[in-house]
Amino acid sequence: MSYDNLVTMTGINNNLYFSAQKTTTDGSVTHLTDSEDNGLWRYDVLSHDKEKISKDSYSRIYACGDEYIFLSKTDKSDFGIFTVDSSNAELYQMNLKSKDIKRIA
Amino acid sequence: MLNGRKGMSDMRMKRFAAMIIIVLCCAGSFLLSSCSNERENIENLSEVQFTNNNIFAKSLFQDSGTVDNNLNNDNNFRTGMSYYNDCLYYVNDSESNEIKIIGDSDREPLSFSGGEFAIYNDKLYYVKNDKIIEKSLTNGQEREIASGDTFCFYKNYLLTRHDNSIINVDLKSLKPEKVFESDKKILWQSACSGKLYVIYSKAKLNLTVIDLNGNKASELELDCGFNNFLACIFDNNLIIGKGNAIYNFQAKRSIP
Repeated sequence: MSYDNLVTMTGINNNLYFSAQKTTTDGSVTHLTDSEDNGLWRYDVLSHDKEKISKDSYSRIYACGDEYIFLSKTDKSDFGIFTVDSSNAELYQMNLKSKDIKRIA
Repeated sequence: MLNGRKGMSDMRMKRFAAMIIIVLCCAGSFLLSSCSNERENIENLSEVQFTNNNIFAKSLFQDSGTVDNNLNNDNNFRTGMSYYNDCLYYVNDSESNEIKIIGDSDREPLSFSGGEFAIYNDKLYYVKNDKIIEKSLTNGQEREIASGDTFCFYKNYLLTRHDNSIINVDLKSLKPEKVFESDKKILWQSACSGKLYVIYSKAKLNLTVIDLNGNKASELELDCGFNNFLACIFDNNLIIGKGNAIYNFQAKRSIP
């Protein structure tokens, strides 16, 4: 497996959370490319288990504690034309146990 | 006679005890020396532990070291977030410089004029024109406390990056101490458990680990390419991602 365009990552409690997003650039516009590698992943550095938590890619991950991590993204979840300068910044909170992700701002 | 034998036996016992003490001292000294060497070795990161309180500070410091990543640089949450006392402080729009607060509906948004920020010990810290400004959350008083274009906290210290140096500032006395200096650009830095980790570029990527208590440094050349990398350090792991590979330096293996 490859992690095309690894965007962000952080680690807590022996788990690495990272987001990958395959893109191609045409002029000033960045296109998301459909790929199985895209999305938000969790990797356990002890057991080496790996799982895809979400098919959505996130542009930044902020680790904030044992219960939650906070993530943000600028694009919508559906693949298509995606501009880097999008003003639709969204902030999400993910529960580390249930893996539920909800938008909080 | 008996007293004479007892005296000799006591002497032997004392000599034996002295020998035991000497052997124990030598063994202890050897073990201490070995541990000290291990602490300086990046390949043994078993002492590295984060507390919940400094995880975000670590994250702040790391994110600012990420280079050449358009998605990260153009993120609208670019001035960061801070998680403090069960509240999340964030800036949605860097133009407004208004810090919104989630978790306490009674709190009014905070205003500040600067870039990267963090809440720590009931104070707001932010970067403005390569200076670190401290603002009281109670009376709003501001003061310039250090130089730097990014920062993080470790216990009662503020670590700032200024030019190609890392400066450790005592938050009580505000006394600055330069703990790292390079003639090459610093690409990433992170502090935890009394150690400062700095990645800068020489022939390859170089990692320096500095013991903030004793300023002991160890060096390691990281066998990966220049720039455009992400790094994070947590628990026992130093992980660097670049392009299409993620490598765990502690486990000496790539992530499949």
